[in-house]
Amino acid sequence: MIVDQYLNIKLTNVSVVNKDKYPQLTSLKNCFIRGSVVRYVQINPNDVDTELLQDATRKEYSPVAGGEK
Amino acid sequence: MASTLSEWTSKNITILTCDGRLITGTLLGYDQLQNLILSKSYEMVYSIDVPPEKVELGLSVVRGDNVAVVGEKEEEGGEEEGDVRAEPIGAIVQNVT
Amino acid sequence: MEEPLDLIKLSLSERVYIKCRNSRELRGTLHAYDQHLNMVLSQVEETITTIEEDEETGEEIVSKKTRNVGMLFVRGDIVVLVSPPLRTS
Repeated sequence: MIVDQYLNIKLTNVSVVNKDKYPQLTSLKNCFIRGSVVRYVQINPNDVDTELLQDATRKEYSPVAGGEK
Repeated sequence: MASTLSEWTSKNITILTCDGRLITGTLLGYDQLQNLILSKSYEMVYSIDVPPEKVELGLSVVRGDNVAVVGEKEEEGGEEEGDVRAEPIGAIVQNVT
Repeated sequence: MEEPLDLIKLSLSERVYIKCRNSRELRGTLHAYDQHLNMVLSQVEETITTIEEDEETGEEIVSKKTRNVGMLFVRGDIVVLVSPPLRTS
């Protein structure tokens, strides 16, 4: 999985979750998802260090507009 | 840039648009806004009752705003998708007020 | 506390309630956010409310569906409201 600054996502080895309802895209192996159409990204909780995230958010967040990243 | 479409130029791709259409073609060019140039493009219209209908579009540009997903079409597996019947994919509920 | 986002800062690592577009609500533990209100939440309960109209009586039938997600990234543009822990159950 690759993500860019627009939160566009590129996925490799994709599979369709609901194949019965959406069989149209089963032949796709890799895909690019435009960030603007994303609502959620579900993540495996074991892959996330929540302490690290919270510390980073507390520290990194600056009220100055456009100061991120 | 981390995720671009560069490696897919001159390859066959399928686009899912925001209104749920599926357009397939050969990627000739793209830009940062995901405007795409497709050659030999066609739309596949799926429905429950009848086999999918292929609508030829030829050379076309798809405006980036309407692009939801771009997928690389696997080389193998033949030309046609066969008789896949499915409900049309719904439009993306994109920040509709 | 000066800016709206300062209130959210105080909610880090706490349970928050988030109202989203399209009649969706989230309750979860807030771990990260940015100025777009992109957020990372854990132990999320999502509630989707749908209102259907009964064809015969014209009555509105409200149904709520919930689902649970362990860890969720939420894109900021769907967020309508973020409520700090005190008001959440």
